[in-house]
Amino acid sequence: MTKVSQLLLSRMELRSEIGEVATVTHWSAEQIIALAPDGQVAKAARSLARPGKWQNLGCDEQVCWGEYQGSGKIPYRTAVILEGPTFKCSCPSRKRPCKHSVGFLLLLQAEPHVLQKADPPEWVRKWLTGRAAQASKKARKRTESVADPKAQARRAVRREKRVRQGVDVFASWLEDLLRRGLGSLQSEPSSFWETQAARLVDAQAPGLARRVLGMASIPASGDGWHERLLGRLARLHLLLEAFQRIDDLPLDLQEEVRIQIGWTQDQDALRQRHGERDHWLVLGRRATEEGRLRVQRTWLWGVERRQSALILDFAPPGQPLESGLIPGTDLDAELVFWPGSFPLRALVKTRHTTCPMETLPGYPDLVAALAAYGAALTRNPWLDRLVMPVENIVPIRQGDGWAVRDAQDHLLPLTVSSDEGWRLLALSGGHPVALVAEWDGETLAPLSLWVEGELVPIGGAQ
Amino acid sequence: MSDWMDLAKTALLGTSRAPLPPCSLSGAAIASLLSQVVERGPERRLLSAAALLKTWEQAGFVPPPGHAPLAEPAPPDDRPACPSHAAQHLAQMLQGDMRPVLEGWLGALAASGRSLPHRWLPELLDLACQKSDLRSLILPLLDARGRWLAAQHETWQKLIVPFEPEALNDVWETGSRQARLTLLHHLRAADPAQVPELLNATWGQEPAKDRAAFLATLSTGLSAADEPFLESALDDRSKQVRAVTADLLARLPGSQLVERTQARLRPLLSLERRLLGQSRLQVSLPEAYSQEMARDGIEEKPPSGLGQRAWWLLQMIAIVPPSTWSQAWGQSPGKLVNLIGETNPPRNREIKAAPMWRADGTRMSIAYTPRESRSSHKTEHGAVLLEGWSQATARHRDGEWAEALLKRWADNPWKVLSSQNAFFSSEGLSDLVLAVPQERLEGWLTSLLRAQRRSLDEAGELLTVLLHHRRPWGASLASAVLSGLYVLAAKPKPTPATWRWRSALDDFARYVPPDLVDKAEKGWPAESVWTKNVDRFLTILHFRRAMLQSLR
Repeated sequence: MTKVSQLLLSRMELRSEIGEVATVTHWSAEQIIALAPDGQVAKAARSLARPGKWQNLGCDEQVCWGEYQGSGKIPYRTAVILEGPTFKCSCPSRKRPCKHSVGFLLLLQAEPHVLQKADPPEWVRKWLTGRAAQASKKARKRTESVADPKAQARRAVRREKRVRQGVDVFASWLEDLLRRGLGSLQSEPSSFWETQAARLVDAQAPGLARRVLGMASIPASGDGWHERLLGRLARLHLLLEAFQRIDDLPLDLQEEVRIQIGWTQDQDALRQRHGERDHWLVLGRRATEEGRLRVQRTWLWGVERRQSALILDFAPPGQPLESGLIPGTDLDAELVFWPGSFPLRALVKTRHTTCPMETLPGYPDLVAALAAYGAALTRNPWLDRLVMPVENIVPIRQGDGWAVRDAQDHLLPLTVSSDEGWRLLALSGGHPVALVAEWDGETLAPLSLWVEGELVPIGGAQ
Repeated sequence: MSDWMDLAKTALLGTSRAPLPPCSLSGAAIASLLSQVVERGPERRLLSAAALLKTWEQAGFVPPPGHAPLAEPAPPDDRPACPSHAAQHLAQMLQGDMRPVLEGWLGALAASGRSLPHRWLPELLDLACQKSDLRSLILPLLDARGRWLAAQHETWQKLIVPFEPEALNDVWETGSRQARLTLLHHLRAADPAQVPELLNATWGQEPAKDRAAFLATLSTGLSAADEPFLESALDDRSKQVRAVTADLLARLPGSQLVERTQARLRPLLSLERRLLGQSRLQVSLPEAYSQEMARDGIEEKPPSGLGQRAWWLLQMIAIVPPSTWSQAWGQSPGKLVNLIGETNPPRNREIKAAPMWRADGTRMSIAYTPRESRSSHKTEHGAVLLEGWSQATARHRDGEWAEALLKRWADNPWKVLSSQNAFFSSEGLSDLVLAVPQERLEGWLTSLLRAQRRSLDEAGELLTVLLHHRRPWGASLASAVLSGLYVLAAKPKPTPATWRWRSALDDFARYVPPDLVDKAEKGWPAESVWTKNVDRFLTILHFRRAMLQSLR
């Protein structure tokens, strides 16, 4: 029996014994709502979370199910595997999880007593066995699909050559830029950068293209823009240099450079590797737009390892982002890290149990946190940003802006909207709290605040 | 750092125009690394040096020490924290579509003695600044943390910080219009007598719009002490100011304005007692319009559809406390309103009357019988009288009169003004409804609903009263409404009247006791035009039940 379902059942017993309202899952309504792919689904889900709408509700150790009587004759069948969570619904909606799935979870959260322990009905059993069959089929396919190794090698050599040519051309473009001076860039249209990025995509170096696109907005970003741009260009130059003499580098740095340039990892192959099991705390997440893609960064923290992990999810605009990792939860899981000189990006290989986070272990002060960032930077100079959980932090107002002050009286400005700044102040009351923030070498952007045993998302983090 | 700035300067100008800086001033370690940067061409040397310096700087960054003393932290919480479930409900109300039930939540939180969840203080303080109806609910709930937070915010602090006596005159003499209004509201709560004094000081210099707005603040804590100032404001050159003033004076039961109006009315209204049969109300219209009447806020020009003299009468009756009449004539309000006979052109009373239903659902054929108490005699200008009394009753909050008028109206509505101007379609109606003791109001509404259970679509007046009954309802009223609605929802053809009841569900959901939700789930037709409204109604009820449970 998983921890969740133990929790679920014990809570249900609690409820029946003392008639107290308790949560069926460890999620809050807010966290469940955050699972919805958009606001419409969230709104609809809220109105579905009423016992009168549901029938044949039940659960066992693994799965909960119910039937929703909508406007049609035949009720929709909804089932949820709480670990994950993984949803199944017979409704025709393209949005997943659908309003019935989210509404079902909300119902269980608000009125846990509606669930009776039972044997799963036929349709739930079918779904579960179907899932199992699919998983083993996929695994089989993976082992079978060893492509022609010769052709693969040929393709690899061809790509290597294309990237090398692309990098050489790009390096001379960069030199030319410095010869003419950055001053002229303020009058360049964004197509100036886009053209260059498109060439790099053609040369199969999407990692470089992404960095070039990210620079387009800097010339218009106000005072000190040329220093910021030079910093980015210099780091890009470092990457080109490293690639040009890649064979001289240590192996892990070679891998790092290739990932940075844009070689992708076969995630199925990664999944085959040995995972690192730990209690991974979900510290926070943030979604941003990058070009025509939504990127979501979810930061985890290994309790034993005292090391962070970054889960990246991508989705085209309007499409839901993966949202199974809920900030504020403690995940007993195996993670596989992408190779590289400072392994950070990871995928979840196996999830064992999930429970609410009980403490937030962090760095004792800002200096320690920044030292950890410094150490990471020496191993991977192309590190974009790193999550920093820091304890004993006092958020304060500083002029028109916001800052944090640590126990050693060090001060660091925060990049945060006024509304969220006031929320930090309201939550902390001028007392020390634990803060989770992203540090990119220049600015500190808060993701969440740990206060009174609860992880509260801050500013833009869902 | 200066090495870096030199590099950046060269990068800005371009290596074709500026020399590469020597880069030797940084620490020894980085200098030796920099000296190893030997590459082809100054551009690449510049980029390599910049990469090295930037990484070096970022990897070794130590935040500066904070010199400013830390602000005093918030004092310890003085109330138990709000349970996390309750905080989640609040989040839904602030972010989602449950905003209309926020008042109920705030009330329940106040009853529980717990504090507002700190996380949502910014939103709540913003609301308290923007909405005066929520302000009075939110402010008493602020705990030590809330007050500490608000004191640091330019706008929020006005909610909690009392005006210093020294600052008072400054704000009044030089402050913005909004600041001065805030000041008056504050003062009115703390020291009401000071407000007319303050107003007097600068009265001549204020523009008419401001004079009217400032005067309106007197409505809180209005008392006889305000009369001298108000009486003088009746001579103001602005019509708007005079109108506000006259309204305030009319709300003061013993004011001279009320007495003058009573004197004007006395010769116009009388109760003619008869030895046999019923008494009769005699109404004559005022003969002429006078400057004195104008000064007391009586408008000369009537709205379309009403005669001039009837209009003057109506306005005057609306000023005088209705108890004037019940006392002068020694008759109960219920009796008086029914002395006025038919106020409408005869309608088909068969439809209007409450049909009686047997237990088996068949209709008893009884013809409409007028109530015995209702006079068969038709009082002239009776509708003008009823309309004026209604306004006066709302103004003076007279419970007995309010009940009598509501019953009279629901039973036999009158029409004297166009529907935009009529009292019973105005917001003032909620004052009238609020004036009736809840138990009596609900007892009456419940019996009316039971009698008309099968024909709610013909009881538009009843719906109007229900919509203005904005307090948590008792269980029997709510059940009676539900039973009526079940019947209505089962009717095959939607009409404008059923549509009105259907959309009223959204309002009802805020006042129906949430414990009825299980009952309310059943009884509706399976699938109809009602489904969406019923869904929303039940969703709100569920939400309210959960919301109240988590604060219990």
